[in-house]
Amino acid sequence: MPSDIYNTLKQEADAAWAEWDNSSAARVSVGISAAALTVGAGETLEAIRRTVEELDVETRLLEVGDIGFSWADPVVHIAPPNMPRITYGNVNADAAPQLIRDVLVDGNLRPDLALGVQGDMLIAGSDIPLLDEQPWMRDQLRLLMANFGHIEPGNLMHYVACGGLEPLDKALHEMSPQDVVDMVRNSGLRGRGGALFPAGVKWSFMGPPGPGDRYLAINGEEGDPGAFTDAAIFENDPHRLLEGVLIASYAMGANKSYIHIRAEYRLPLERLRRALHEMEERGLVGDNIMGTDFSHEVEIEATGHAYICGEETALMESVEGHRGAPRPRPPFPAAYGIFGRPTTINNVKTISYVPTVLEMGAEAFAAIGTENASGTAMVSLSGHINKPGIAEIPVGINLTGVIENVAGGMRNGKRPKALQCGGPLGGIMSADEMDMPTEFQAMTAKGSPLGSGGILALDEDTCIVDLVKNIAEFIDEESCGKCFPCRKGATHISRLLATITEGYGQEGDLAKMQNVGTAMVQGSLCGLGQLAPGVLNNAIRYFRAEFEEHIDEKFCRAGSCAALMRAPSESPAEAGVA
Amino acid sequence: MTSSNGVSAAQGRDADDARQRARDIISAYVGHKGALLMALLDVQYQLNYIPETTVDDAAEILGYSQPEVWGVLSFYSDFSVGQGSDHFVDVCIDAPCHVTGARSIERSIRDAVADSDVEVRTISCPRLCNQAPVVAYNQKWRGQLTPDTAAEFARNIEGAA
Repeated sequence: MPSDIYNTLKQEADAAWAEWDNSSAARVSVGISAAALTVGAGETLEAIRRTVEELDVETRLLEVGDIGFSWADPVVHIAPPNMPRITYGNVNADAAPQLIRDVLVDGNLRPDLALGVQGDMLIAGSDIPLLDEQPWMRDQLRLLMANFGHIEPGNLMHYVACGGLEPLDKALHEMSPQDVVDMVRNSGLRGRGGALFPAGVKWSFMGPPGPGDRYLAINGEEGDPGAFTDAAIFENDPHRLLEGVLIASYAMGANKSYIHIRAEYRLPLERLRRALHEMEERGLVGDNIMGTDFSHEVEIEATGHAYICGEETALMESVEGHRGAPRPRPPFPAAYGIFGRPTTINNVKTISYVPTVLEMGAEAFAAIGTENASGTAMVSLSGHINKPGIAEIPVGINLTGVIENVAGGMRNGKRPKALQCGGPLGGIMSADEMDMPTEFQAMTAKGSPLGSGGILALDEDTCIVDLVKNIAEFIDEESCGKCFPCRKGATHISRLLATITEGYGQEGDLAKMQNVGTAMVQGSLCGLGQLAPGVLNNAIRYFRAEFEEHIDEKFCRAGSCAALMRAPSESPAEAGVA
Repeated sequence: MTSSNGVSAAQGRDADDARQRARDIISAYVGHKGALLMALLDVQYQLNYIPETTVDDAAEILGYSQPEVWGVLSFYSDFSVGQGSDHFVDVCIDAPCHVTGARSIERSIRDAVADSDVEVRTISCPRLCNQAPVVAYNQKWRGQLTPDTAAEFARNIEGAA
């Protein structure tokens, strides 16, 4: 039974939602995110604002989050009066005014720009397909992304109207902290930062509450180039994370949370702050939440740009305001964490699943995905594909299908060559291996762990040696320098790769790099050094011939290493851009 | 990310004024647990750089040693100590941008601004890989660039001499 406090809030939220989503008026919403702004979504919003003011049709205009179709940005959703919402893509500021007039005044639904109709009803007399049946949406299951592109990010009323805070109400009024821990454990939810540790088990390490502070830290560092899902949650549905924070803190008896996010992520940070501020004002964060004994404080830690801070002990150093150098373990954070107090560190996505788990129940959540990892995987798609963007798929669906359908296939009709997954500390696999489930453990076995969900697709014109060199340079730059094998090893590997791409590679270089990599694995305190050789080793595993061509024949088949070109030609990797 | 920071950099031109502004920003963090990093980031993002005097000032105001302040400043790549150009273009060169042509974009931008006071920097991933390759002018990012559109973008930077 929902509490009176929740019921009152829900009524207010439903009224606020009806104010926006009033079907007798026209409704226009524009997807605004940091990514969409890079291709002119801000200008599109302004152009639409001016157009709407001049219309005779009663029109509501709303800034919503990012539906994930980055390839179609700027994205605009238009619902004529008493009709479902239609999603349009590539609506730049020049095209927007005409589109609005065509759809709302002239009744021309502009199938040329339409991506699909939202919901499950086609529009009579129009051949615009349903959005959910488009090849790039068909295989998706959106749990974390349910509100993406639908609500105004950071608007509490919109979040509650769409089902938010009911799980929190249920947890606080109907469940004991142990009930919540048990439910999360039974749901099979695993850490989505990449390590896949069972979330419920991690929570139970905190032990029974005692006197003094206990902390939950949210790891939103997400430093992997090619991974941008955590930032997307901050940016598009920050309340889902905050609700998860409250439920998890209730379960663990934590009285304060630190949310770690890079200060440079302006829009995600702004929306997260708005969301927190509104919850604080309404007493949903603070003392005696929803009329119970549970009190909780949330602090947003806007921190610096340093990859190592995604490592949990380095993150704690960063929260304390220091250089983010990892600490030795033990002591583990659950015993001695931030400012010496018991601390649990969870990834943004992991915690954002918690309201969903409570809403669906442990069994229903566990039924999605595979036996090893239940639920969905939020993936960041980038590289040589037709549809870069953010998607959410049930764990375990076929990886080839993900690339061909969800990611829209390889662009310019090229063949796929490799997938680099899990960021610089992940790995790489040959495209020949792609006919397999998108499943964490299975992909790790192939040498390209999914990690935090970044999938960088590479076409046949990519030079693997050049890519591995780029990644090695990243690791060299981001090694914190505390452990000698990591600091020197990363530099050594990156220099050897540079000499190979410049035509000075020598026999034995591959073994030398792999030996250095082994020393890094054995002699480093944290995951950065321990996982650093993953991309290199698996690139050699699948593409040894290409490395040997660079070393022995001084030849780059992709034509991207300038010193190793036999005939003058433009670098295919770069030509692909035009 | 919705607004350019160019204005505040120009305001910070006067060294004494910048020093005082930095001191004021840092002073707001006194008594806050773990304040050093947040205070310095606040200075960086308001002034667009860290005045050299801030090392001594932050140490004094927040009660750290100078090496501790330097340690934080040199560790995080957000910081640029000492005032550079008021106009800088950042080019992301990490893997997703690299494979979609970041190097040729960097070359094209360098050529386009060779005779101006625009400073070109290569930087690490701002997490906009879905719009790769990306570049920024004073932290305002543009995506899906080609060498031609990147050069046009760089040539159109307002106020650069």
